[in-house]
Amino acid sequence: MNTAKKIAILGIGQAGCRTISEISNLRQAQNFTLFAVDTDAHTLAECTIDDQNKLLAGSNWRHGQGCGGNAMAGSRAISSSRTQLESMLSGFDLIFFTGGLGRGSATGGLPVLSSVVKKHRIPAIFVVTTPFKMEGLSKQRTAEATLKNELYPLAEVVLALPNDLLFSILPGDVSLEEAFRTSNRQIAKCVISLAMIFAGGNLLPANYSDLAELLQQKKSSVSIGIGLCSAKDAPEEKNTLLIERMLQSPLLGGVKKVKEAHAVIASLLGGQDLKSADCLHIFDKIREITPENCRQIHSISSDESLGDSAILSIITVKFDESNDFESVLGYPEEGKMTRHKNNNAISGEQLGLPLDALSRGVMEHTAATIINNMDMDIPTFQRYSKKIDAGK
Amino acid sequence: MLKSQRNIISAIELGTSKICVLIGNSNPNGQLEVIGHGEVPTEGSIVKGEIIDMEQAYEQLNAAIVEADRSAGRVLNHNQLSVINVTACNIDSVHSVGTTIIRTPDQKITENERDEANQSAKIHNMPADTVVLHSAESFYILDNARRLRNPEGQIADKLDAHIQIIRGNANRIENFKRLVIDVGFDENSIMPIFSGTCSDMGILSKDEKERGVLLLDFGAGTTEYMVEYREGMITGGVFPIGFNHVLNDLSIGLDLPFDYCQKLAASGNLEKILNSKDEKFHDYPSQRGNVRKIPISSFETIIEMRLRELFGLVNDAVKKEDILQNLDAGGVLTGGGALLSMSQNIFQETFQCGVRIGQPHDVIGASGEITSPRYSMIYGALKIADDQNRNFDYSNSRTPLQALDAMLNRLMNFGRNIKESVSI
Repeated sequence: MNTAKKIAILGIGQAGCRTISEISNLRQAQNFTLFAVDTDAHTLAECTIDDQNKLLAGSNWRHGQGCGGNAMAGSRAISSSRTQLESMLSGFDLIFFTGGLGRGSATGGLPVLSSVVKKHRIPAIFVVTTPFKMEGLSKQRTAEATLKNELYPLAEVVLALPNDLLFSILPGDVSLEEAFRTSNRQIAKCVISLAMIFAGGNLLPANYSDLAELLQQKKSSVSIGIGLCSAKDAPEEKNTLLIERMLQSPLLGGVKKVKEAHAVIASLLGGQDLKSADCLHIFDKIREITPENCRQIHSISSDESLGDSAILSIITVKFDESNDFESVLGYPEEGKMTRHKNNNAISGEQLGLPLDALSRGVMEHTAATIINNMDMDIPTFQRYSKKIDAGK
Repeated sequence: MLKSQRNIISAIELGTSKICVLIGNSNPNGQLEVIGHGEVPTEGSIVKGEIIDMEQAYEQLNAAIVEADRSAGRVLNHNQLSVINVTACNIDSVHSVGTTIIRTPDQKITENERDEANQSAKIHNMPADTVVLHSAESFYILDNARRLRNPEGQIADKLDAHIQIIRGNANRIENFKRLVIDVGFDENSIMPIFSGTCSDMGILSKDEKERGVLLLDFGAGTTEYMVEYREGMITGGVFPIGFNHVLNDLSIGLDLPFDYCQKLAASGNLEKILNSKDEKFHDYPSQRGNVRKIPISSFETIIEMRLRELFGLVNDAVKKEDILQNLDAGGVLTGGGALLSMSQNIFQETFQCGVRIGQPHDVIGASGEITSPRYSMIYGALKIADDQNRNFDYSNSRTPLQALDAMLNRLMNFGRNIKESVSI
């Protein structure tokens, strides 16, 4: 009986489709089903997977021309292809969704996808990137709002990786094109190694529930580090090299992230010659780096196809203990005053008034229901600044 | 005064969506039989569980009583016992502990010591504008060591009674009573009871109360919650947020008239929209003759955000008791909002436990139409009136509040004869 889990990886939007293309070039991709979904026919055509696994969402409305960075249009386009998405995703044990937040298809579509998997009760992990700072504050805010108001409340496992972490390792003269390509490549490696953790053949399993339980405290920041090494690279020092490469991994953001983590999920994936002494040594090293009270989840898996290579991946989770004024990723929230921590002087940023009027509807002439300093008669979506598509 | 035993009893629900009256035949030798049912939509006279238009509510209550009389084929005597549901009014429950030292010659706890400990627990400092609705025993602790459901017959030096006092705003509760008195009921014949307690009586089984259960009554204007464990009430309360908030959110977010949203929900079409497999848009015919295509995902988003927030508030309130992990019977969802399957799914995800829909299941009588979750509360109120009528010794001159406390404690503590002891 084949007990291996059926795992799918779906990329949505331009960044998601490019990540899927990168994944399809990796050797380990053969164990997984890859899908690409976008509203832009050109991006889909560039994606290097089978055409039958591609879906041009909302084609009868957007005509394959993308949604112009409009999250509402993205949401509507993905919603209109919901039937195809439901049949596409049914039957899988676990689905990874990947995409870049801040523009249209992924920003609008990922919440729709989360409701599709929720309806069919399929475990899902969302690996999303947030925009580079150089892409502008508006994109960052859109990404921030989507994460905070839609993905964190609706999805169980969301791993949000700031693209800016890449700058911690990229040289200063790198072109923007190269920066994006590196981002896609690193996300591809992250997703595939995560997928391999959850695939069958686990010796010491870390399963979906571990991750879901850990991230139930939604306000957390996550980073992922991946190290790959084969016996040929360093026959004697394989374990040390593996840990070094993992710590230098671009999306980890340096050893500091591990040192400050409240929880880590470390996973070692090796070939059949994986030795128990190696595992003990590697996990001891990780325990040395992490803080004393850091929660540790370790997993060990073997995969014949890896031969004498080994992959060490680590997910660090840092719970956000700051007050509500701080946003999830540290960007200043719209309409909130930013203060310099040292002198409390108000920064020169000009603040905008919220454009949406808050309405109490039929509750207008009743005594307000104030709970946690919020007027509960105002619709929840308005209080959390969620845009609703009322159709046309 | 509650002087004599009567066979005809009634229950009155002054709810946000409807004013409802049930008439029951409480035959001491038989089962409770529902013989009359009257119901009138409130149309805004009661909002978020509180009466905002006394005159309109008076007319509607009269109309509901007339309808109930007509269906029962008799006129309800206003001296007959009636239980009225009370909700909102800042109702909450507080935990209180009363201690007594056992002074009997053989150190054996008798009913007297038990009552003494209970009475001492009921002396509780409260704000001036707050009044006690009723109270319920939770458990007893003997010599600071053993936790028991029933302490009688045990040997101990000290007995602590842990009870839940259900209290609310005095003036707002008085409004409910005044309305019922205004339509002609005798002041001493009416008993205001917290709606959550009524739903608890109406639909929970003894087994569920023993194993531990979270009851959520998701009504139109308010949401009541009760936690029962080892047949004792652990906590309870009410949030003035109900299914009307969901409809109001839909009305604002999707630019639809509130009446239209109400009709969608009442006709079951909202459930169909949310569960439709093929349709991705809901066609709304606007007044200008155009048809607006509203994405179904917009309906889902609005409802889901509101339900997650509301159930999250209940979860936060219940979490303080650190009891959720012990509720083996899971959750019971009732009230009109329970009919939406999305409520059940989000309940399961929020509280991480199974859930069943609670509805009156043992209704006997001609008015069989009250088996929907919408009637859990009023049916529970009628059952309370029935029990009161059946078991209480009216000749024993106690105040109605004392009578009610005694009766509720008896109802909630069926397992008195079970000598169960749990070490703490």
